[in-house]
Amino acid sequence: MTEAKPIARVQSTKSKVPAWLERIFPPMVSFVFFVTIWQSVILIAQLKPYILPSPLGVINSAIEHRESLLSSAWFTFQASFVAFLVVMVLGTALSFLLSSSKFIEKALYPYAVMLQSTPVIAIAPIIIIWFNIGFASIVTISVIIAIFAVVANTTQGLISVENNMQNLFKLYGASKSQTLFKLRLPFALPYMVTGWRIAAAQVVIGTIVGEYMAGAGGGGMGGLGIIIAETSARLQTGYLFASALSAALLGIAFFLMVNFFGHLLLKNWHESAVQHEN
Amino acid sequence: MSTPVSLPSTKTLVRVHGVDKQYANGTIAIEGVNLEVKENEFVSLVGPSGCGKSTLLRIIAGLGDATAGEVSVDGQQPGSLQNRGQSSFVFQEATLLPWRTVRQNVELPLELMRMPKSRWGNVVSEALEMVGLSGFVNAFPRELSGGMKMRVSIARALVTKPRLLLMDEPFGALDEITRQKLNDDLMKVRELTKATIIFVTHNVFEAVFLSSRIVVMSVRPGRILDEFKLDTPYPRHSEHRGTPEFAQGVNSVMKLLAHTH
Repeated sequence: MTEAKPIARVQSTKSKVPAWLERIFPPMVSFVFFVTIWQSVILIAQLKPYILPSPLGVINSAIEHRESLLSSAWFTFQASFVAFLVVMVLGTALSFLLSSSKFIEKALYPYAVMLQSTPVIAIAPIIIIWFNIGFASIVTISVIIAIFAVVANTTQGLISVENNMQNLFKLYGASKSQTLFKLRLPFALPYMVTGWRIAAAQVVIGTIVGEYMAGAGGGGMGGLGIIIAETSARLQTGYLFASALSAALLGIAFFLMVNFFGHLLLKNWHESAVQHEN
Repeated sequence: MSTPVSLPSTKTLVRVHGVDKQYANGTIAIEGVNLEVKENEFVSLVGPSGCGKSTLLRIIAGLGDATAGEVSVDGQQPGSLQNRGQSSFVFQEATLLPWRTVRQNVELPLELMRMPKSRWGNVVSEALEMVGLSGFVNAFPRELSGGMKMRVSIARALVTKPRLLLMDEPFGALDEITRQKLNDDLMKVRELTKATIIFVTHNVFEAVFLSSRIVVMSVRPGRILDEFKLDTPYPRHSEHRGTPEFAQGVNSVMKLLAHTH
């Protein structure tokens, strides 16, 4: 068995199957397999739809509620996007502060870790007291959840600049701004992109959690988080599944968007973005 | 037969007087070092690991301060504004910026010194040509072999037309064949630029092939133990490695090195 594997790999690279088909084929197989099992379990165990809706039931529910799903997803996307921008700007600024001196890093980093470790459930009520129910609170909760990934990675990048590269800049009398724009920022960029990627996924999760806790239904102030809260309360399990699926798709779309942007920035020079021929 | 190297100038370029270097943890890296390097000399600092030869080179470059003693390059403090671009440093690693192409890496010193582009002229192309990289100007560092990366690093050091070239074990990480090729090419670069070179290595063959003078250092604390002059005239070509003079030089330096521990 184990010896057969490399042979199979050699054959697959020689075959004429297009690369994209080769890439999506395995997940498609597992998808069909999973959905078949799902449907069979419902038929065999005679499960009630509010316990576990059938795949078809989820799709029907998604079509039935498409308008509110779309508008909610749009709201969630907007809140996530704003939160992501805040995370990028604030997180990067904070990283520059942290990396500017060892003292500041030691003085502030423990509190950044503390903020990250405190459950949002505990912070959310305070935020709602300050910012009220609605968009501002939702974005704030999302920012608190996602900002650490950007701060941790960007700071790591900024303090990892190779010593001799700094010496080189020193030898030619580089100014502070030259060292920042020509050395520290580009050096930290791969780390920063990693932070953005993680934050992209977390920001959508954070927004939905924020909506769940600080959103308001009915009045158009709700995103997918509100639908999730409402449908679970009403045992509309099919609709709940459909909104969870929408949330997942939105998260993936957001991640891919940021991933693509990061890839554009690094494509020429960084190992992570280079396609190797061997 | 060997004739003494006739130097066009006997002006002292680098002066090191009574230099000590003690690190914060108390380790004495070098002690009581005196060294004078004249224009157009090729001086190698050799010695076992930990003898402080790199430390000394960094002090001459202005990258580290001596604890005691005096150092001057062309009458100025190392690393002073007047010396900027006048002395260049080649690190053990190529230390290229991976997000810049070969050409952009070589342009870096000119940018950092804020030299207006109109005054660059052909210096970048000339430097690249000197190290044989004209065909790779748009490649990124990751596409180059170790030897080629080091060539880019040398071109970058040459682009400011320095009078003093400080090289810290630049070929230490390369295989022997690549190292010899780069040694041969360094001799050509020396002919073209007339730069004074101080070269740190622990490879005796390399030191004997390249140098007009070899300074042997002892370990802990690093002191200058002895000197050895090599009178073989420049330019030296790869055939020089097969001559009796070369073998004699290697033998003599080996003997000196045996006393360094």
